[in-house]
Amino acid sequence: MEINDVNWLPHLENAVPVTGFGKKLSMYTIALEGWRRGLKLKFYTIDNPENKLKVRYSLSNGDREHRFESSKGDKTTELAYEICDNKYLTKEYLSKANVPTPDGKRFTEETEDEEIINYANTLGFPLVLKPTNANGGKGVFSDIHSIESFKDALSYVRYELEYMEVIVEAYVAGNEYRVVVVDNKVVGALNRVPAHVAGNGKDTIRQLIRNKNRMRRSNPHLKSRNIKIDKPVIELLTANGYTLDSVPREGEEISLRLTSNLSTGGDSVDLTDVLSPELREVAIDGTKAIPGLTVSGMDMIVDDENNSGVIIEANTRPGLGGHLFPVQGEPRDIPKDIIDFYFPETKDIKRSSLYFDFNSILEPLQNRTAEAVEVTPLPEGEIYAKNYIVSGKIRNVGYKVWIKRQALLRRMHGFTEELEDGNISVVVAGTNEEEINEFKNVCLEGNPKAEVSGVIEKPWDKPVKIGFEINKKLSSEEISQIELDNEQMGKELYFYKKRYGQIKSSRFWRSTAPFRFVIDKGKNFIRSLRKA
Amino acid sequence: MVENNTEWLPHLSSEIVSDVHGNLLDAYAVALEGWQRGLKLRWHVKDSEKFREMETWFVDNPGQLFSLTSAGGTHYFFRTRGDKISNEAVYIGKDKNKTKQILSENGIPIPEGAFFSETQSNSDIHRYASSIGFPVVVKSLDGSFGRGILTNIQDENELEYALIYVRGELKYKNVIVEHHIPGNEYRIYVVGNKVVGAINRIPANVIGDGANSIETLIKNKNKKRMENPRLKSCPINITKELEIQIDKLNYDLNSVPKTGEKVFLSEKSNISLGGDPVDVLDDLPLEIMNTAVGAIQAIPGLVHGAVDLILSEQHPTQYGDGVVLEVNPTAQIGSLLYPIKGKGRDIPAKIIDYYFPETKGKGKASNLYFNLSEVLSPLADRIAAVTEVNSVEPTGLYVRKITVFEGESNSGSHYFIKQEALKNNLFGFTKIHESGATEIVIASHNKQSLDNFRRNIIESNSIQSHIKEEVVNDAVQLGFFLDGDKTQLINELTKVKEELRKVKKKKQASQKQYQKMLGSRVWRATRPLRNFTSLIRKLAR
Repeated sequence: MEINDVNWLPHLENAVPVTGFGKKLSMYTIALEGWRRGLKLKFYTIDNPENKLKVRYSLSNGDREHRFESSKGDKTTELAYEICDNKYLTKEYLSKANVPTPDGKRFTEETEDEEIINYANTLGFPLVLKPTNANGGKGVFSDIHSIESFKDALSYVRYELEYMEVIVEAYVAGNEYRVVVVDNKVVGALNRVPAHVAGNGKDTIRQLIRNKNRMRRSNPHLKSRNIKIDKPVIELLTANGYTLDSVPREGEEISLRLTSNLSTGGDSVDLTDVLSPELREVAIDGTKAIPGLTVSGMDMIVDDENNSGVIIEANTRPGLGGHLFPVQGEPRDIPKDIIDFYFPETKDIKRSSLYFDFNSILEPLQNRTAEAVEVTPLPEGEIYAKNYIVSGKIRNVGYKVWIKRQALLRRMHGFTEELEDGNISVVVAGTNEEEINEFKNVCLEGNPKAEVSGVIEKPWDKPVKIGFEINKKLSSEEISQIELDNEQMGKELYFYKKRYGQIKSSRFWRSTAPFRFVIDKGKNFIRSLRKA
Repeated sequence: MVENNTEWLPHLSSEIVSDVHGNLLDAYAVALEGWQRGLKLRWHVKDSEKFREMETWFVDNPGQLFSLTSAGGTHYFFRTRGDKISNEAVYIGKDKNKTKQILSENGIPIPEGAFFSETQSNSDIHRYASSIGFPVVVKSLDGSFGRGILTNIQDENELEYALIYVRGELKYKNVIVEHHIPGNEYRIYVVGNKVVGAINRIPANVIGDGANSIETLIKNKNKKRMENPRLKSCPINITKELEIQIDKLNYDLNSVPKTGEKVFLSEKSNISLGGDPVDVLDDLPLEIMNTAVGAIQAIPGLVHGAVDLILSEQHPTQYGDGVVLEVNPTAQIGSLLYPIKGKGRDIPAKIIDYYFPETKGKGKASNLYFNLSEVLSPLADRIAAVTEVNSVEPTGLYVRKITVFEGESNSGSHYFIKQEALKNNLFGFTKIHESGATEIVIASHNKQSLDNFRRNIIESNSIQSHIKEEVVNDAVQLGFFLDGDKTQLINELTKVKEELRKVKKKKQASQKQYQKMLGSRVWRATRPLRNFTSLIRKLAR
């Protein structure tokens, strides 16, 4: 498998601020999709007993408002959430609708261990033991092969993790798929592959891992999920007869881990186009089986040879990051499908190329100063943008601040920043093409203190952030430089003050006061004569 | 100076408004009042929601437009003016002639005068001025902020000059000519049919102490003005005009006035020119109150606002009940909140009572406030159109200060403190002392939460050391802020930068002074002599 660079959906490239990376990807991309179609967008926090920061958002077309939590909107009912949250209820609803799910049974708190062990024996091995109400794969033991390991696992889950209510079900071998269904259609399917690298006949495994991590860092979804070289990695390499310094052949695939979690270096591979109609049907039927479930992430175990699959879990808020930024395969624009579903009347609206800064919006919410922030509505009409490169005596004379004011007065969006060569770059975008073109003259004019010597006009086709910002790169060196300057300046001030004081109080200065007085008077006298 | 009998509103202490920029003070004071009563407070950008229909101006920067919402509905405010005031009232307030006309029709005393349109000649005006008698005032109809207003015009000559200036140079062709009435100037705030605040504006002055020069007295007074949130941006500046004024009194800047002697430094009473606002609400004569209320009620659609009037000593029969100069629907209230003498009057509370009577008396104990610049930051860059301030319960606030001695003050334990504070819904901040002790100020509407926090902090491993706990009455900002936080560092940096700018300026000034002195002829001429003296000194040693 080859490592490709991040495969961006074109309209998201350069339009997802770093603050929206990682866990916030679903929230940001769905909100952005709605906002770019002209919907009113608001981010807000909700009260909760633990006083945790919980950010939600709403989209409104003026008549209808929908509220969202990550990828879950208000068309998914509370009941659907409760069913999906409880793995046993999920199984019940799926079985009732004849949707394939592994055989199994739930055991309540009061059930004796012995009864559970007996059931395991009758069901036969291999099997899976999991708590009914735990999240994120916690306490899930799959592929248990013997009664001894089953007993160990059972006591661990029930008495150490303290999940007394458990499910025992048949283990189904196969690939694990995540299939996202929106409005009864499959819109994305992923397979997670454990961490691995592919050889190129030149680099060592260590170098290949480094290369792969560099690629992962540029992926908004995997940014902070590097492959760490730890004990399990080295053990697996050793077991397969490699070391970190081995150089694999071109195309040779080296497994680094057995677990497929993305957080430990696993890859997401998009398989939407190869998912068979039969498997699609299972995912859609599974979603339909749970009343009130509209957008879902179905976890399936797929037996590719027999083209069959079972559903092991249903999720109401599937993460979209893996679908938007797969390591392999096509990116899937699920935010579009979700907004199409919630606001079908906006389906044909051409989405704007503007986007909004996320950090400035989240900051007052995070500090608990604000409870809600409404994003500036999308300007109506086509957006035109230009980049002006300004040269001249324009640094440290308030030029950028002035430009910002001029842009905001004209309701333009964009930014200005200093370039390394000392010039200043101004990017403006707005709905009035003429005004955007005329802004060149504004740049040329400048504030009274600035002396502009030239403006070069360039096209700008990257997305533009709404609002107008002065991009500051304030490094810690700069901070300490300012502090140093301040100290130095203070010292000089002290010197001049002292000198001044000394002179003023010196005997000569004092003793010559009468002379100076006379001289001043004389000067004034001469001046008055001249005037006359 | 004997002006120590000042009493500002405790819930609008100078600390609470310290971050609020001068021109945002009015809006902040009213918004804060509503918010402290538990109303939902939202800040808006220009033209957002109902502001599209409201008459506003200079609102490109956020912090002047806000709305307050209760279960009963929403009201929108531009600075101190709410949406119960009609746009028509605002137009009338801006048009001085229209104001005069309506006031006069309603029997409110105004200075005798007349309006002259651009078609009328200067000689028409001269004729009229002589008929009503000097001194007179010439006011342009459209000028604002005191532009194109010339007062105390004594004779025909001065009038001619004034007309050339206002109608010719400034090109304000439409003018009003009226009686100049000397007397005490008042600004009175009326809500509904009640006077809720009144100040007397006294021209800039100092009071002698028999020891200090006028220059020093001015310096001292400016220091005092710096402590006043309203006056800090309006020091008494030593100008040519000021020197001419004291020269008239046979003084100069070095004169030392007698103890208790009041020296007026200007004839104008504008606060921005160094004038003193003195609270006079309790001593305001009934006739004046009636005139002020009458003036507000005379303007259709005006339910609250300020009235500027003069009580004349010289025309007791004609103008004995006070004469109204101006009616302002969007009045500044800073000088009523922070007078230099007397009590600050709670105009914001009266305004909120009027719009949300059901909240009357609520939230008074609250010493909780919010950081305005933080709330406005997404609006300033136009990233957001509206921000909603985290709402609070309108009940009393419990505030405690916990000092942790010898504790490890690593960032880990501080983040633990922040986490615990947020978990328990507390507001407050931490402060690390040079000694290593950490001060934690926490506040909550709920006593139980404070106890929970305290228990968790003490039980936690990160802090096992000696702890002191006090009940304090500090004002607390919404949110929880750690000493050394990113936002705080940025704030400090901005301050350091500002400081640097000031120091640079000062340095330049001293450098100039120094160069000037070095360059002075006498200093240069006496150099040999000085060198000689220092030689003698060295030898003597």
